[in-house]
Amino acid sequence: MRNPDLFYKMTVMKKPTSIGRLELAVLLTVARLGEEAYGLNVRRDLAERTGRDHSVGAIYTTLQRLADKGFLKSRVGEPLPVRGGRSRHHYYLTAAGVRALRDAERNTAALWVGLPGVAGESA
Amino acid sequence: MRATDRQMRAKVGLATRSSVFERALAILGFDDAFIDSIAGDLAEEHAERLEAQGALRANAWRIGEVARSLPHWIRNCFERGDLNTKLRIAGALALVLSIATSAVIAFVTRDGAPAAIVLGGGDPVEGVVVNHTEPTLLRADVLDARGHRLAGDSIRFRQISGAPLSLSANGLVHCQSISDAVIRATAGGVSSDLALHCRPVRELRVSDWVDFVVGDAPRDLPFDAIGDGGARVTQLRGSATIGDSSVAALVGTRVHPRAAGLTDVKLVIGDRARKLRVIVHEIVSSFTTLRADQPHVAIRVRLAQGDTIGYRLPRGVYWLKYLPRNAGEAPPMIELGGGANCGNGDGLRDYRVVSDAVMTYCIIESDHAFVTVAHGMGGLPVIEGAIALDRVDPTGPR
Repeated sequence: MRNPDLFYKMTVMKKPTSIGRLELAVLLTVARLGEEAYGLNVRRDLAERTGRDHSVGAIYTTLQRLADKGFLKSRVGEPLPVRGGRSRHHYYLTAAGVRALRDAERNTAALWVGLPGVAGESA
Repeated sequence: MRATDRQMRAKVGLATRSSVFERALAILGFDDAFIDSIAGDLAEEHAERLEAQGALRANAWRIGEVARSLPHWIRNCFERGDLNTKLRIAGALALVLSIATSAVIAFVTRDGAPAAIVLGGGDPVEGVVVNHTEPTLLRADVLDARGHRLAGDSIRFRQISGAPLSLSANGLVHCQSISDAVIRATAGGVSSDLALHCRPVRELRVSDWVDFVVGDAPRDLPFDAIGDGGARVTQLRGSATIGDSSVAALVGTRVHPRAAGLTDVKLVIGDRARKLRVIVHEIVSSFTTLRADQPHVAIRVRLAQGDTIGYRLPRGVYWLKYLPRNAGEAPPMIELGGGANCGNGDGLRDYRVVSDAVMTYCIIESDHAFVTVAHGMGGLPVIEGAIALDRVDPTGPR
């Protein structure tokens, strides 16, 4: 059957990019810190909220992986004397990064459904 | 960023980096911006810790942080780096691992303190026997508690009792006559006393050769060690080594025949050395059908009283021998005829240890030569042995 009035718009769904636990935590931290989201701050904020002290290497390689996946971008700040004249690299979420966070939230919420006792919700 | 861009920036970055840490990150393939971020964060936090905790703790934190981060950076390098970088890193890791392993092994197997001194050639019961007539150095080792030999520990010697002995502090002993003494060896606070017996050997007398037939029982090497006044020396320390162990094996000074052939044994006692020839004869049924590759052959004989047996002899030049099966048995009557031109084997050497073998040197050009072996009516009911032939003529039987 051929109907010229019918049209369709089809977009090929992208294969969902997997995101690890530390990657999710770093993305959330970058989202929360906003303008102040640079390596040292991300590490400190994560340590305060999770109680886990990640190494500089772990945080920076995660930031780099997220940038490779297109979830983060960075901009260079002014050189600072306290950093030996080096600049801070401030990270911010891209649209893809925001989508990844939403997908992660949705997936997690779906897994928690039906577990009120475990989740701490009142029955 | 493409791999080549990364490589170029890494090279430029490497050239401008001053600290070892930043150069290492550049080698791992990180770009300048990334290296600056990490180095800047470390510097910023180090400065805060310096003010709050002092230099020692701040520096310790920095070192620990770099160490903690290393596995992540290396993994990142393998995930994102080009093949050359990965190979370089793998090579460096292998080198570090081998160095660390060697260091651990060296530490675990390190030498302990001296625990014992062992004298070479020394027996815990009999002590040390010296058969040398010339000055000789006593061999000694210092061992730790685990039995490892310690290098570099010098051992000092002195006599503590017995007949006066020519012995230097570093262990040079000169046995000029038969004597017995007790000596003490000392090293690193450890000392050991041992009996030392001087038994100088002036001469080593050996048989020219030791004959076996394939399948014979083992026998001791026939030799005599002669000391002062022509007396035999029985306390001996030396070595015996065999050339071809496929022909015969040497267990101490006992020879075990294995296969037909010819080999030498070198005997060393004190400062005397001699060589003996060991011949293991191949068993054959006739001497007249020999091949060129059969230079040492024997025919077994077993004679009851009154028996006589004869064998044709081939042309050629050879030693003809009777080899008794059991030591000490009187030989049978042996006669040669048919133009066999054989002479006495004695006189080729000045000294000769008496052996049970009867031998004669033959030059035979006749086709009718023969040997007969006869057992008389007296003596043992049966005698057993072998008639052996050792070809001297290199051209073989004619």
